[in-house]
Amino acid sequence: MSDIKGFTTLPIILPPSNSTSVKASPVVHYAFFKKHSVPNSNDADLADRAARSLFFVNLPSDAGFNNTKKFFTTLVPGTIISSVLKKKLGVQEDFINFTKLTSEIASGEAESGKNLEDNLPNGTALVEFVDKKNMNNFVAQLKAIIPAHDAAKGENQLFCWPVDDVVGTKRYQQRLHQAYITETDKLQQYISQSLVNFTRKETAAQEALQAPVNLVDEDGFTLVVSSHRKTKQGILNAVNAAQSSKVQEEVKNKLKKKEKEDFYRYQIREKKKREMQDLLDKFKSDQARVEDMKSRKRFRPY
Amino acid sequence: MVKRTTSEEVSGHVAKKPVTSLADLESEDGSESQEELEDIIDPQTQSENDEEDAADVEAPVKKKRPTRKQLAAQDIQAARETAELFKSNIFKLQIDELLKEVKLKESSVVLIEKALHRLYDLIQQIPEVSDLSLDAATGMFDSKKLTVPFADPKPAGKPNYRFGYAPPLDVSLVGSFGLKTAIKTKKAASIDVALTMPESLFQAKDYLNYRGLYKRSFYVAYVAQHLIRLSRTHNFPIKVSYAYHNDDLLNVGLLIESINTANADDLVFHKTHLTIQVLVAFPEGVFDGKKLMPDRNCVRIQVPSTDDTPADLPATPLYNASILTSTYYAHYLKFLYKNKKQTDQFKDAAMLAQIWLNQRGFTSLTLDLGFGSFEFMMLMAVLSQGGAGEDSSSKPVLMRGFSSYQLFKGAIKYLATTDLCHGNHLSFTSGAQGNIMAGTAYTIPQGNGTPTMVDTHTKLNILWKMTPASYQTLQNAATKTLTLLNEVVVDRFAAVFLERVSIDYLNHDAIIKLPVAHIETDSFSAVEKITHLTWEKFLLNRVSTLLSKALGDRVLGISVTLDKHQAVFPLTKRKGTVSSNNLVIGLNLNGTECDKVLTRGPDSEELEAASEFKQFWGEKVSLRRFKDGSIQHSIIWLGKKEPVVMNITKYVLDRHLQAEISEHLSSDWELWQSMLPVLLLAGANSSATALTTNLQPFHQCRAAMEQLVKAVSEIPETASSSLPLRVRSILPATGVNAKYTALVPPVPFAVSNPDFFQELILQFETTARWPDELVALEKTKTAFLLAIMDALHAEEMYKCYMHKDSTIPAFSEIYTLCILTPEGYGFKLRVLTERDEVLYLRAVANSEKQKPRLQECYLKFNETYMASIKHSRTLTTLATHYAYFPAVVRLFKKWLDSQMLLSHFTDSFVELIALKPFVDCAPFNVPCSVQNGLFRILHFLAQWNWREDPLILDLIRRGSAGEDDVENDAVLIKLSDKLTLQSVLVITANFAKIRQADPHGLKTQFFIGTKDDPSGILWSQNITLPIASRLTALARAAVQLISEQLAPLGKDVLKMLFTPAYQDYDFIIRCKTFNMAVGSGISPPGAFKNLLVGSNSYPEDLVTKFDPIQEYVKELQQKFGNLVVFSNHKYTGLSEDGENVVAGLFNPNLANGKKRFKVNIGFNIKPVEGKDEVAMNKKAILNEMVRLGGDLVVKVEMKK
Repeated sequence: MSDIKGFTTLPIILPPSNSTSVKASPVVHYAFFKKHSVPNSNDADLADRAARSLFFVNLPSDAGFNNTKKFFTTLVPGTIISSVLKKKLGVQEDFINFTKLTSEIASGEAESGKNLEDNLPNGTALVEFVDKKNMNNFVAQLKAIIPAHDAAKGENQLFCWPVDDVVGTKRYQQRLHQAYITETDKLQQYISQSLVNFTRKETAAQEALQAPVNLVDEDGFTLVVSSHRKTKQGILNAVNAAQSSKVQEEVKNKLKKKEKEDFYRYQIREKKKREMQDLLDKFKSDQARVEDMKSRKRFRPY
Repeated sequence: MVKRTTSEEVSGHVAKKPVTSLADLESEDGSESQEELEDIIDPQTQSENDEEDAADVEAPVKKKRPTRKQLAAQDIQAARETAELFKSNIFKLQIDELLKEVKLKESSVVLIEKALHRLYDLIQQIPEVSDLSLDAATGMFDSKKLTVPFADPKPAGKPNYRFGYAPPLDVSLVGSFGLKTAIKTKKAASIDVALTMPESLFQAKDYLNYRGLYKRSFYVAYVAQHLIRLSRTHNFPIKVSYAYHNDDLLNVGLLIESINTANADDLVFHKTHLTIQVLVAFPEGVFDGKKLMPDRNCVRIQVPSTDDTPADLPATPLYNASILTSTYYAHYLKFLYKNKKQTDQFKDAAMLAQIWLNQRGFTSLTLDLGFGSFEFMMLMAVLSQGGAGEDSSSKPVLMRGFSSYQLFKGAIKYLATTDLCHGNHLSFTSGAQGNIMAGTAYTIPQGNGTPTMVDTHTKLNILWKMTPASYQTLQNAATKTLTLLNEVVVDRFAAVFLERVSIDYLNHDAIIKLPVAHIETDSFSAVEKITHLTWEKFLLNRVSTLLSKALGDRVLGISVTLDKHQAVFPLTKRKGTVSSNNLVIGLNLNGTECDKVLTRGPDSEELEAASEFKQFWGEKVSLRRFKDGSIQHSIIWLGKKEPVVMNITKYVLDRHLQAEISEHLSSDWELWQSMLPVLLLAGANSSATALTTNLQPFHQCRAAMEQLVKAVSEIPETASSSLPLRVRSILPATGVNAKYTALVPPVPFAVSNPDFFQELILQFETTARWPDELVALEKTKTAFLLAIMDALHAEEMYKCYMHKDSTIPAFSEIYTLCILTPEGYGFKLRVLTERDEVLYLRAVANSEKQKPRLQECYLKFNETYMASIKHSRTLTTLATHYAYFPAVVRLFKKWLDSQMLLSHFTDSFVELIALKPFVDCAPFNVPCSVQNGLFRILHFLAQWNWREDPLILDLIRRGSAGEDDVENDAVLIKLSDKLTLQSVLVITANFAKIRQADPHGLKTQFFIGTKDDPSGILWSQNITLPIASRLTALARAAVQLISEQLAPLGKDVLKMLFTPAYQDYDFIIRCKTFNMAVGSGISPPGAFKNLLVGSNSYPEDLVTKFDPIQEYVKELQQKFGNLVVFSNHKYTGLSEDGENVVAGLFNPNLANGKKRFKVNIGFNIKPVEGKDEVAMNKKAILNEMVRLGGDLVVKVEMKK
């Protein structure tokens, strides 16, 4: 198996599903890997972790820490991995921060750039090894045995993917149990705690807002804050919005509305003309519509 | 006004050259045609003609080329005029196009005129013969080649009248071709030519005892023989056969078809698809009209009684009318022609009328409706005569200056609103004014009312071929059309003129077939023979009279027809064999009456009426005392599972037509009803309506809901855990039970039913204290729900769960409260606050990159929390108004689920589609049976071109009293829920906008605009193109199957309709069977009812009873939804042995072909030959899916 764009192809034999009636040849899954290119980061810790990670494309979707570890150690004994970071394939489950989008209180609190997996594309994974040496050893050994696997025509048990997922009826009942909650203590606690946190944040924001109110600046002005205002950021947003062209336009329109429309004779004449034109336009558009229907053979009664 | 140029005038006249009689055609070279003459005599006609042209201004080809301004002025005038004279511009333009479309081809007309000339020439060459005895007359023909088509009874012995042939007095074109109102038809049309026999062949008394008819039969046979002979020598290859005119067995003529030959000299008119029908007419003035009035007897027979006088003989209206009709062909042609000249647009109106009649399958045939284009034209002509109707001083209904649309609508309105049947009639005179002889008043025959439109001049009842039943059919159709024509909001042109209505299975709620062979002809005596003429006609009359008496209010219309009859027969036969196999009874039911188990008769005191009632119904009658104190004779129809109407029909036919004839009745009615799931409810399945219109299970569920609402609303008063806010309202939302549309109606403790939990939306009183942030708001709501949960638990009656809700995409903080009520029903409580919408909209406004995703969130929120309440409310009203809507929507859901489509649609979408035939039923009736409802939905889906047309539904109750008044009252229109023109315009504009962005419907397919949802895509936004196309394709396949297999459908056909086509999918995962039927409250077919007991308590662990396959599909959807479209049956409990499958279709764009390797390619790949190329690893994907299924999967089939 040749490399693709610098990626090494790793064949993985999937266990035959118990339900396929005919014993078909084993199904082979293909993963692709290469050493993770180190992102330009000032964070020494991140750089270190990246340096001892392998970048995988298309690991099996149920790959977790346990079965990946098992699989790797079977392939190359002595391999020690410390974590598997994965972006799932499938329907995009992108995160929407409703808090940030609906409230000004939380703005500026979002954390970013702290994790290795943050910028992983869908369907890829980073497998972190215990150290760089271990990783290099793994890669070298693996590259050596893959051709042997290819020769064995898929009978090599080494490449068999270990499954450890709960599947079938049990899996779905578990999921249902998670969705239908009878023991509500935990939930209750979680909800109360979040609400307390929210109130705290809200009060903090309120205080921050009230602080400048009592301040008198050099010119003797104080800041006036409406009782509806909740955050400082809100004031800034409002100021920006008022300067936008849209609002100005609206004001202009308001003034225009007050003009009379049927005062001068020319206005009445124009209006009549316009009505006539409208009538004609409608007639023309009707004609066009009928013409269109005709071209679609709408008028064949049988 | 536009003046025609000279050249146009000439060409116009060539085209317009009228062929009103063959004699006109004779002088081909140059002589002025009649119209031209008249035009010269009557200059006014000419100028009116020009005005007509001015009205059709839109295609003025002019030499002068007027300035733009002038053109605009003309257009404005045309626009104004059409708005006044026609309904609207678009309507008028459509009429013009339609008329252009149906006009006979010019080349056909030329060809057929040539053929008519040739025919005329041949007829002139037929030699005369006279004074033949019966034997001599029949002896003239070689019996192997030709038999004289004598009517029954055949003349025998040595009658003293003589037969003969003399050249016809007159050969003229009659019927619509003669009037130039002929249009293209679907079936082969014929051109009527009437030969009038000379007076010399008749005696005044020949109208008696078939004598004149026999003479005509000989005449016809003689003409036929000579035509065949002459045609051979004159290059006119034709096939001649006998044909009954309008199925009237007394009136036989000839049908001439062209034979296609290779010889260039032959005159072949095969290509025109037209045939020529030669009618032989009696001369006018030979028979006395008075003697042939409908109350007279003209066939003297031996009546088996002792002291018979001629007066005792029954009247022979059909015989009399047949003779009169044969006498006045030419007369009525002239009458109509005169009218056409007087009324400019008569011709166009007549053509419109013919299209209307054709679409509804209405013809002049005696065994059919008896009302065809001739009758319609006569009606229009009569109505535009002054003095029509009872009151001779009344003004004409139709004015001469009316437009074609106005003429047509006026006639339709007259038909819809005037009863010409029961006592009332229309009389007119077709003779010249003042020609009415005194003392010839027309007597209307007594009896059960014949539709009457009588000509006092000829004494002919124009409507003689109609029966009260057929008149009712006509009137119903006219009423429906009138409503459509009155509609101002939506353009109804298609429903009036373009849609074919004569499709039996769409037109009737139920179709019952009765094989004629099983009915004994005993009751058809000599007397019946002279009054009804044929056994078939007699039978039709008898069955329809019986049924309309028996069914009364339960039906809106009954049509009884024969499925096959033969009007054309070869020359070697004396008569056509009317070989019908079946009597087809089509019923249109009255939704509110048809399922009543009680038939109320007369009061106990009305002795005479009571005895008649008893006489009719026999031993079923019993005296009953009612709540209001009255004691009445009545009948209860119980104990059978078949529909009440079917029960009555069988009983009455057995009792009055023939004992045990009901054994032979065939209908698929009961079969269709049994397609709906039978519920596991004690005592719920006994009545005939249990499966269809009985809403009892739903009512019980509603009662439980009201209890719960009360319990929740009263919580603040209880001390233990009070809510800080009072409950303002709790309203049903997306749940199907409150709307009566659940495929499996609610059964207590049936937790495996996928619709077990009914969503309710809870709203608290208004407060300003909700957190101004979405996540915190949801958490506050959860806190409230937790409080409610505690309070309900305190009462110990209710059992509650918190449910993690995933309705809103990417929002995982929403919880709902699931409540199990002690009655055995489940509800799911959601909280809606007045801040929600504001916050969602704010999120949309603040979003940048994620905008489409957030819009999706907002729409989903709107759908779940707000629109669903409105929709639910509307549906509840409509479901109770249209008795059969709940049953129909359930059957439709079952069909969708059997085809694995239901899981792709929202319930509301399915319901709106199913509402279409109910709220917008034109040109049919509101469905009143499950099968009719389903056919109509499928028919609609099959022809709905959703790429080009939106579906706009006016969700109001129709037919409520005083609707007509509303139309005229602007204030009431505003108040009513009816869609206004404005809202329709808004909806169409929305559709146009969507299609502009997405002309091929790749993103949005179905657009359903209603008053509740002008955006049109609320309920259909998540449907994908392959699913939409599949729905259309499957509906088309179903419609084709239904129309090929004539009703009644067999069990195997029904099964086929409800079987999914697995071969269309890329793979099928067959799942483990789960017996979900009992758990879902369905009684499995074939099980012993007494052994099955529904549960009466909740299971220990609720979730073990849920269908794991649905969860499995949900997960597959999450993981592989971008690669595969998954389909499965939503209701595992409905399949016979708990089988279910997951069928998948790979996205062809991703699955096929090689792709370049990319890190973020987004699906499972395998390397393939070629540099850096990969392809989808389907096997590995399937392996993963199957692995997830574990023990759920039994077998996997993959398409090669």
